[in-house]
Amino acid sequence: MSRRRGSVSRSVWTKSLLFVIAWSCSGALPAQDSDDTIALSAPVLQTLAKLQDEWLVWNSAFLQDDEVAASAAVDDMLASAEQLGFSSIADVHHGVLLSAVEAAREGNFAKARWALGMAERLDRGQPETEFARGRVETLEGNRLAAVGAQLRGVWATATDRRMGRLFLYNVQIWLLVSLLLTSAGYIALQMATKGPHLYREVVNWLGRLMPRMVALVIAGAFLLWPFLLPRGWAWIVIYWAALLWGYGSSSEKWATALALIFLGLVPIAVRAQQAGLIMALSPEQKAIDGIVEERLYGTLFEDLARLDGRLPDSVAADHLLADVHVMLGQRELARPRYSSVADAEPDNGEALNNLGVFHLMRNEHARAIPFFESATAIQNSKLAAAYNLAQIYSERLEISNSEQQLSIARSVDAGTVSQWIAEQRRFVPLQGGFERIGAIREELRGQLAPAVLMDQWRSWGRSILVSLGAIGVGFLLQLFRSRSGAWRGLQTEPVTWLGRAAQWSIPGFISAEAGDGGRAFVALLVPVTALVLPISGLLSYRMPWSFGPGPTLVWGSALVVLALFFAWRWKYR
Amino acid sequence: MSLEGTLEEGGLVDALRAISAFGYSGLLTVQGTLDLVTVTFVDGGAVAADAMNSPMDEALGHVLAQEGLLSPVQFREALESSRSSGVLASSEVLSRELVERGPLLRAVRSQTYRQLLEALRLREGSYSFALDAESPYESGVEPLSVSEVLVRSVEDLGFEGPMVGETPEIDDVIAPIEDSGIEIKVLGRDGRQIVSQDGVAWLTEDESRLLEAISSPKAASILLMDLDLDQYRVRYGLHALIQAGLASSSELSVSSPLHSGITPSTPLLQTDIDSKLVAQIRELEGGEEISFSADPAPAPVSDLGDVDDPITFDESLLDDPEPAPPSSPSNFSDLTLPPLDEPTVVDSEDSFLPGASTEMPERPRVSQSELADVVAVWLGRALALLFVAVLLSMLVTGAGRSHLLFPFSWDAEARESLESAQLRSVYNRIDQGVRTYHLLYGMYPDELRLLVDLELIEARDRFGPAGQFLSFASDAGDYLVRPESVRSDANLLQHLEGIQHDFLLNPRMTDSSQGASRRPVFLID
Repeated sequence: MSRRRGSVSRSVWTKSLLFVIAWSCSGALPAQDSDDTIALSAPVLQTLAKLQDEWLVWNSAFLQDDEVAASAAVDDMLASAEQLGFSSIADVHHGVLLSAVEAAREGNFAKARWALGMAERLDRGQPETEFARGRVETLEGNRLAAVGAQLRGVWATATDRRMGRLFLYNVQIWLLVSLLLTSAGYIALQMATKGPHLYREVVNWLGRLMPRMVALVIAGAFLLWPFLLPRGWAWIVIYWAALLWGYGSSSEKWATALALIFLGLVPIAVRAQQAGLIMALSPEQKAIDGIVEERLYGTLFEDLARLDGRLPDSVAADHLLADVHVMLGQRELARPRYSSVADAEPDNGEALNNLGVFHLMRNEHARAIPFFESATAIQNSKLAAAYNLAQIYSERLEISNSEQQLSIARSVDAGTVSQWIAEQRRFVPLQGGFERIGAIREELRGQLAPAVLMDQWRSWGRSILVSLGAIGVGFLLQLFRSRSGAWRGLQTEPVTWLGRAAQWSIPGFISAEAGDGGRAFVALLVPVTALVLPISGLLSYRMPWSFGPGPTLVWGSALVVLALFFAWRWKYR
Repeated sequence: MSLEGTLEEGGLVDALRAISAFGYSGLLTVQGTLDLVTVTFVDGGAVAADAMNSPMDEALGHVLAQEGLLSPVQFREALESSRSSGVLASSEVLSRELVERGPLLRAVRSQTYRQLLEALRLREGSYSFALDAESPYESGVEPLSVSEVLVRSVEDLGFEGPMVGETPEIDDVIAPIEDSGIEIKVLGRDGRQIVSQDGVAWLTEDESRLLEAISSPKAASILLMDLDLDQYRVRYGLHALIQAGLASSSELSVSSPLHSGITPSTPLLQTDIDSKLVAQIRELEGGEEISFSADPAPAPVSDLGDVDDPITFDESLLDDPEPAPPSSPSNFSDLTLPPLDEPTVVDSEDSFLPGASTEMPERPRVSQSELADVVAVWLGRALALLFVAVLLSMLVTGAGRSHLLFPFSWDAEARESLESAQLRSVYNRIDQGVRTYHLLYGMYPDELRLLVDLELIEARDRFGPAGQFLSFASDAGDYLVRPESVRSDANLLQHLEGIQHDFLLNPRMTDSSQGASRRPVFLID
């Protein structure tokens, strides 16, 4: 009963009613049974075939610029989907959007607009609709409206059940990469401002052991050698941070420690999202989302079969697929699955109740009663099972038994029972499988995620150890330096136009020179975060949009933030 | 820990030497009969000073006004605002953007020096130093080294200051005093505080090194290069050695060309001066005959320390009263030396130009130490830039993108998993586009570029997460995407999809009669 999607909100009662209708209208037998898709009965296949025809009708109406006929085709398609328990048709929605944008490219904006309206009806609240609308507005020259549509699309993406998950992972990646690059950049700033002191000290120290020119070269090599490590950028950060530790102020030491901790934590955070990510990208998850959101798409039945194949021994998956069969109206295909669920879980009230309903519909009262009696003993199915039992006794004219069961049902929820009676419900099935999606996701996670991703502690230990080790080495070096008392600072600090340009243009440079580590880190974090936004797509996961926002929005946002940042610097520095 | 003492008999100078030698940070309070001065030290260098008679903020205002950086009226406004907000006047000046940061920091340094002079002027009273205590100071100020303060105080205070005698010039030649009978103690090694005793000289580490370096007479400028110390540290260290009776100084005597009437067209080069220094040293060491050759090639600086090399001297130059014709600046025939018994100090500001012209470009005298500082500054910046370039190249080229997020070798499996997930997300996006295309056009596209043109995918979706180009092939019922670098049999990274089980794309899938023909139906209901 927990199925819910975006703007399509139906009352629980309506859904229950549909579920009852699905039970009542179920086809007799499967006409096709394949390992590649879940079994589909002939009526279901006929409904799907009808959908294909209606799509062709819509296409024809669109080509003829016949809005009325196209709208009627959309109504027909939605009605067909409704017969199968779905409220939207995702792939057709994408096709209509593409048609709308094509019409806009040809200059027929009126046609594009009514097509967009139909796309919205086919799958409400989808981000792609807004992005396609933004494209149409752009083609029409309405830039502001286009930006508005794109922003609405981003919001719809963030709040969408299916895409929101991936969107959240991408936001995490963006922030993590920003933190990582800021940390690395901060250490680079430290090298730019404190590195000269380090270099001079190394030169002085080496100068006691060897000729001065040789000392100059070896000191340079001493700072440069980690560049020779293949892709060893992290080791450069750690090495420099340890060497430069003693040259910073207290706030710089805190900022350096923070940078090192980020360096250790970011891989852990990315690793932590991997298992969930693999789930989010899997066809099995897509199928679950499709069922929960009542979204019909072309390969849904194939993806459901994949789910079944991935979790062959899962009782929860069996229970869900039994409910799906009922939703599709394939009662006969649901019954064996309910039986296996009841066998595996004798206390599964929903499965027992639904098996009873199955026999009740076939007027097999004697076979139905034991299931209902068992279900009555279980709290979460007591209400429906007692009601169903009362209905059976009533049909068998065992009035006292019927009233006894009815009073049991009323003792649980009198209002609901009265409503069922008012609706003249002959039976009440229960949808327990949909409520087990959380458990199915956990089982899928165990199946899909590589074992290495589940072993978080080993990675934790190593990464944190490296960060803390760098801080420890830096502390020891500082102790050594303060004892030797070798360094007294540089005597020459050339101020050139290039140096001034660096101070102005590189955020955090002045703060780093002044020894204000916190300000330097934050000053670097803001522009780095803005700059990483447009390029984070290189490191993040592609959204499965049929129409996306394009690069303009992110680049525009990044440039606005950067402009504001540098304007602020200009004014207040 | 604290240092305490009286100002009499150079007590304050000893305290400053100790603070500098140990690199202490803390607050020095000098209480005189006429004034009270506090000085903040960071790592042995003075960064701020305040005086009762001339508060820090007001003194800064004077400096700023004198240097023409800020009018007194503007400064007074900033000062009042800073007092109400509780920040330093210098910070308020900065926040109001009245003066740029660089000039302001130099002005703060100048103000600190002036107030330190006030402290050094005090003759009677006491001082105390509280380690790790501090008063507010402007961050970013280049600390004033104690040696700089003391050396400059000799010039600025003269007899009013606590320093006795003159400090050696950089061109002076320093010779050791053998068998002085003075016991030498080194701060840090033999004690943490200077205790005045007859017959005992307390030296800092710098001074100790200088004493070792002048086992034979040497010019201060050579010591500066040999020990890699700045001129203030060398000059003050030598001054301390001289005052302790451990060394003696004599001025280098190189005559000014003006005095001899010779008017070369270009100033003396550093090499020329150094050659003369060597000659002077030779003369002091044994009085051997010194001669200069007219060899136009200047001796390399690195050769100067080797005093055993024979040096020839063209005496005819001394006898020639006429000015030599202009020639190469490196030609020693342009120079002349005065008689060695009439030493004349070369003044670097003296003009070598003929006649009334006294303007002359300042001779850059960049020491090896200063050169190393410049190299150090630019090396630090170059390293930072190089590092940023490495990061950017990893990000842009794609080959190392996953290494950015998983930089450590033990994360190799997680890195592979990340790349795999990223590739899966690209395939999902392509799949969505391909199916939409098929739905509308009844077939798969020939190439992914078509999807880009229709905006069903973005241009970057034609590339994998590691930047590898994705090849696309399709027929009537299937399509295959894979990274171009992947061989056909490596199917782990490829993506094969078809319309077979898509009820919207495959009409046969919904043909229920086919299923019936494949499998018999038994009516059991």
